[in-house]
Amino acid sequence: MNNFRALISLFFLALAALPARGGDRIDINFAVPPNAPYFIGQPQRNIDGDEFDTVVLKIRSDWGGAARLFWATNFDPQMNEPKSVWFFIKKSAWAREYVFNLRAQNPYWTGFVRQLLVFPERGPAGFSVEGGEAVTGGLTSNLLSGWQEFWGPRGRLVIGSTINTIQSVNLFGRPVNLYLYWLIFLATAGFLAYQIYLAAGRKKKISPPALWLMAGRFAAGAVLLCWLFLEASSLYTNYLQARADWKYAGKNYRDKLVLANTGDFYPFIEFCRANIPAGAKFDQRIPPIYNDIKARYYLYPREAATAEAEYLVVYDRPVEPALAGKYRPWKTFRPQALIMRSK
Amino acid sequence: MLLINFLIFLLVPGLAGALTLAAVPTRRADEFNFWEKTALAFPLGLGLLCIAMYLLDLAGIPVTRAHIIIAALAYSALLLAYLGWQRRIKLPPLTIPPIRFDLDWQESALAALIALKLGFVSFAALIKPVVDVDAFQFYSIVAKGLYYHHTTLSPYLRNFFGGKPLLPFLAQGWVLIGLQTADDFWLKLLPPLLLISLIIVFYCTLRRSFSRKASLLFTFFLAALPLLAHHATTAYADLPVTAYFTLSWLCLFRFLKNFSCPAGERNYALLTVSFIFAALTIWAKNAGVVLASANLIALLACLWANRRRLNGADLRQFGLVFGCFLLLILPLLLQRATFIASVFLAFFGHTDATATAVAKTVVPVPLVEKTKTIGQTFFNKLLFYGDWQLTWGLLALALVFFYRQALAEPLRYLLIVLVLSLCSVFVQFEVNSTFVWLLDGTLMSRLLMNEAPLALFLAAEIILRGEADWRALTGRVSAAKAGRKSNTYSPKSSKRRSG
Repeated sequence: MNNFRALISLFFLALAALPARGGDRIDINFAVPPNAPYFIGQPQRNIDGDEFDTVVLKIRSDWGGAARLFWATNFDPQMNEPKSVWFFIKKSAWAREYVFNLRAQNPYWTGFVRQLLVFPERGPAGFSVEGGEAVTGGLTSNLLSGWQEFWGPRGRLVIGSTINTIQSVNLFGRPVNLYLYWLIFLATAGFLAYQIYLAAGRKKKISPPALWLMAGRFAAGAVLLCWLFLEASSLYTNYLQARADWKYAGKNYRDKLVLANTGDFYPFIEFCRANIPAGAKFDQRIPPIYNDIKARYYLYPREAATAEAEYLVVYDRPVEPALAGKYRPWKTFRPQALIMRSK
Repeated sequence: MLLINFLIFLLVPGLAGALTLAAVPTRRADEFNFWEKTALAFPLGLGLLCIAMYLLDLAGIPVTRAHIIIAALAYSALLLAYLGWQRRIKLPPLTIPPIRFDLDWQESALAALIALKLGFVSFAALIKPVVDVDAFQFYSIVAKGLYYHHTTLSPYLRNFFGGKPLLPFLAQGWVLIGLQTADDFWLKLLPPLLLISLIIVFYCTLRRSFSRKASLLFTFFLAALPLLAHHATTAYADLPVTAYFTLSWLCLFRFLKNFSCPAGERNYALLTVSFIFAALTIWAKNAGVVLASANLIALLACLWANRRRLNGADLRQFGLVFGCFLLLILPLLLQRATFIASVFLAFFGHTDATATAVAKTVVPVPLVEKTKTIGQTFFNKLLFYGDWQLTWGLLALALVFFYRQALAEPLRYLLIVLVLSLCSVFVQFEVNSTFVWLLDGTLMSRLLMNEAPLALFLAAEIILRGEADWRALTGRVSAAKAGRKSNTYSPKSSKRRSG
């Protein structure tokens, strides 16, 4: 027992003594381009993604929420969805360190990386990236990166359409379920081997069916334990969702609808409802997705139609000249948001 | 006023469902306990009410609250008259069992977690208005139309049906009509109610065979399935179809469990209720045709295996059950004479206009390549997504370690239902243009949601039976004492049957 304790102590001492990251590092400075909602790494670099597998960002933020780290490579110079990771930002008065083992988290961290971009979900106000560096990761940076990734937005926030599928929480770029299956498999195989070893030394042999059932019991128990662990993680996700939905609490129906829509879309819909009579037909020029569908729903019992529509509802989308010739501006909510009426 | 409207919304279908359950001929008074009856009454009554609303609409009668209530009362009066004629009216008609609070700390923790999950689902559903795109696009706009104009037959509203069966449209319509409001966050009242019903019946079915702790554990896992819980907060049709299908096979399972009892003592009430829910599954979504067929094939397999035990009275009962099933789907058949054909055509040569239009823009994929892609997505979604936690891994493990229990009656018939419905998912992507929905990741998990409760239930039954058998084999306790209470199954018989 004492030996075991000593071994554990030695492990933690060794862990603490290990460098957080390797010796080489490339410093990256971030700036906000004029009128841009993001921070971009400047100047452009040529970071060898295979050697510098980890990025450390120092971020100070007045709010908690999600942000996204993009990168451009020589092979694919665009900042795009596949070459990105989401992460949670914590509210803090000082610059916190966020560690990403990007080579483990995303297969597109490869080749030479030119530029990094940080996109805070609530915009750059009250948010600053006070520095960053690309380093060769060590054990502790991997652990920190894994911890941050596991409790990160993937599988927890509504990203894309959670209606269709819910992503698994990831660890080092792989679903956590994969690790759990391996754990269960190895533990069960070990348990079975141990029981066979024990049974070989016993006078009273255990029958193979009973041994198989015993292994099944053990495996089922292991799955149930792992499941309870996943449920703990899932409850945290539920907490995040409930916190995000809390903004609706105490609001009246109208205010909830304003909150559920982006910008001034719902007030514009109210404006349309006040001006277009029920049962009238309207055509619409509203950007997809999904405000065009929502307009059809909110404006019912006014009916959406493409031909013979007396009204044309326009919201932040240009009207084709052919169509514009058939209608004249009638009621204006604001520039680019108006109702037109047929001539 | 809202409280009165809420009571009307709840009690009209609840009463119709409760009387239907009471009217189903039963040989044993304890077939459903009070809580099960309560849990079954609402979804059953809601489904029947939707059919009544549809018939009113077809008959040209405005679908107003008064007309719906009159139709429901007329139906209830008929059932009461039948019950009176059968001398089966008892006062008080129901015995409310006392709720016991003698749970140990683990059971209390599980019960609290289930309550927490249901609380979260109800909160997330009702705190915000409808925000889901398919609800805007299809169900909720028709519900609004029904509320404002008392019909779904206007040419404008028919544009939004998109070839889908009517139950989700009409059920959402009943929410607005019943509550007399157009505030659309009420539309999401139905999914949490259906989930609660599902959870109660799931728990009670497990509890009939296993200990309270084990039953609560697996019920908690059901309540916490992430995609199921998420859909319970939306106004989509996926949760209703899953709920009706699950209630259908749960009742079927309980019927099959007692199938080995002597002829003339079998309880056909369970089978009748099962096939009423199967019919409502068809009313809920096109996929319901395939799911109901899986139930039917499993039943036929059981009948074939036990054909020597059947007599004329049994066959008459089966005829009645199928008659009832056909009667319920008859309005759908009448509405579109080619309904079933179109669904099967859709299945083997899809006719979904949107999917076909999208498919035309995609380069045709060779069959082998397609099969490989479907297989990869299928297993990825089952095992490595957050949709189902470890449900499918647990089932796979149960099938490997407890294969004897899995192949024993009546679980083998549930396995047939599962395999058939999973194959239908596979075949659907294989042979028609919905393959595009596989590629963009929008459909597979939602289709698998129908089977997820079944997989979890099977895993629970198999593992808990295996546990009992292990205890019996190692001489720790008898199988009966080990927690399983069923008298229809024993380790010896399971070994003999599975060869």
